[in-house]
Amino acid sequence: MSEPILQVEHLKTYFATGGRFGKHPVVKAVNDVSFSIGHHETLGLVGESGCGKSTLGRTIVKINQPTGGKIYFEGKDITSLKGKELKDFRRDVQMIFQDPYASLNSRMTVGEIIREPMEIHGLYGSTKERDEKVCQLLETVGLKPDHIRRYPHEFSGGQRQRICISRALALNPKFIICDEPISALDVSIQAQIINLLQKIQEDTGISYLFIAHDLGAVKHISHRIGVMYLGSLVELGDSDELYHNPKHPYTQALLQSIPIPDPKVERAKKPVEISGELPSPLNLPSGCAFRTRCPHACERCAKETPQLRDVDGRQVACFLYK
Amino acid sequence: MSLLEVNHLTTQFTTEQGQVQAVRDVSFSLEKGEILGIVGESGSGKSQAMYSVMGLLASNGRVTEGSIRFNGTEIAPQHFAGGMKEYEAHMRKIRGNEISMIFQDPMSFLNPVLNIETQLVEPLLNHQHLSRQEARQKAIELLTKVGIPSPEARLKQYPHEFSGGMRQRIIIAIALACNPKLIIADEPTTALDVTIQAKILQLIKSLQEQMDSSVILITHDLGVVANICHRVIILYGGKIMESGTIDEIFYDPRHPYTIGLLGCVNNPEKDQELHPIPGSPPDLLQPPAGCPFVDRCEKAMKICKRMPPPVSTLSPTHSCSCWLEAKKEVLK
Repeated sequence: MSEPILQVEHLKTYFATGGRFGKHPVVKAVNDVSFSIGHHETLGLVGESGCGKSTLGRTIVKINQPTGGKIYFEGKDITSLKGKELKDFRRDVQMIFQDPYASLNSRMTVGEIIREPMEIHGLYGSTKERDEKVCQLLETVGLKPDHIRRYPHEFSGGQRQRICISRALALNPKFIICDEPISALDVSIQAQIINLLQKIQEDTGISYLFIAHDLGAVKHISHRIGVMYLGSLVELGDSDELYHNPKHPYTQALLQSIPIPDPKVERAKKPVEISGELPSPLNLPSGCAFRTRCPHACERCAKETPQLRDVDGRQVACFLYK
Repeated sequence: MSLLEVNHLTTQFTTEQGQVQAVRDVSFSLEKGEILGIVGESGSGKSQAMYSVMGLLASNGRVTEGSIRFNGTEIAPQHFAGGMKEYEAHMRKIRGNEISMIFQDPMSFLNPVLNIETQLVEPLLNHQHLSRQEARQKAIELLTKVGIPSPEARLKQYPHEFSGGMRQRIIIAIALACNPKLIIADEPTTALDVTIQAKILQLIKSLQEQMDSSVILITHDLGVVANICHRVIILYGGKIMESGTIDEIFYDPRHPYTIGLLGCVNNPEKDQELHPIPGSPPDLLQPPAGCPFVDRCEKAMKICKRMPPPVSTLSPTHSCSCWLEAKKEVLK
């Protein structure tokens, strides 16, 4: 593989919670995560709420400061960038957020929203040139150039998400982090947005980190998938292989839980094996974080923490595979 | 006799912009012991149709036409001689007793300042007139039934002490308290994680079988429908597009909207391309005169714009309202 566009090594993001009398329990939102993303590649990141997948995305663009570990973008260490260098880095890395109702300023017109990043980074000389670019972008995402003077409230959820995408594209980034970009949309609109993101990738060769809790959508768009549980990656591999032959017990449970829109498949399904619910991230279980719900848990799982290891061409963090 | 029979139900909302026709001429029936799925996108009227049945419409909403027969009795508000007052009095006896509801967001449904016991015994005291002692016993039974460990201790706790999945179990326990004949579940698992969703669906299914009650499940997730429902109704723009058993809808869909909907959901089992439906749903302030789907339909004809399509019966359980099917019938 050629040099990856993004490489993350042992990344940790901890949050201190308010505690009195010197007791500050720490939430380990991202706990020692390593992976890399190649050019023209989409890495899907799935997990249930509270598993740290969004925090991981936000740490990469440095909205949250990493507690430990390194992030390399195009081979350059960006972990402790500040000021102008950080600004330059953010030109190459953009983000699309989950809720298109909350992520657009309702007092700005669509033109102003999409133009703003160009103004901040001093791209294209004049407002006129910028507006030309805005019109181009609007056409790319399937909106009309005369939408430029409208306000966000005049658009539906799917159209708003298209505006968010064109804003992210305004700086010709090399990498976009999509944080649950479709979960707030209706199914018929979700497919439109997924196809749009794929088309943009074909045209520009951009890389995505696609964060979602819906494994179905993630499998469709991603080349590789990482599964997160309580701050750690438990499995990472090629999306088809991971889907058809999940190794980690958590991945297996997750796949089994997804209702498939096909009655015959659903009738043939066995009931889900895992028990209980997500333990508190304030008080992680010792050893493997999943052992409290795992049907295969043994003594060793409580004592040692399994690390990601190569198993049949993919990485799994579980003692079942040696 | 069907447990619930809804005929030509029409519900309107008065807003500053005008009349929103949220539910337009909806008819369906529900048998005893059946799980019926109601599927639609946001704004399709699926929740409002059910709120009309329950009498839980917002103050600007009104059932303008149609009949709702529950267990043989008419419960549509305009059929009460004594007006809204009599209707409300009647519905108070039915709601939470014979028909109960499970809502989407477990946190906003439970009262955060009352403990679980108070909320759980309320329907028992009001409808079944049990004593405090008996109601408490029953509450413990209910919590055990929905799979909450150490129910005695849990009764004294408050909603914030429970996780999302546990809260949804409590809501199910409240809904089941009076052995209702009909449970209306409005997106009961949308706010939950998939592994928890699978557990809650299993629970609803097994309780429904045990108690032989009927369930109406409002959802936008066709996977959930395939998992749990017997029959399904597809709503779009306030109207029923197609209805049938899940096998009929999934394996022999006739309406272009149903076909479109199935084409744009991710089925990870098959590696199909996604075929999104272009455009967006109609504005129900000025609903289209003909078929509501006409602007997004690939197979739209001239007549689709002018006249609403008639309902074609394809099998005793399968019906579809589309001019394509009507045309086929005429040609036969």
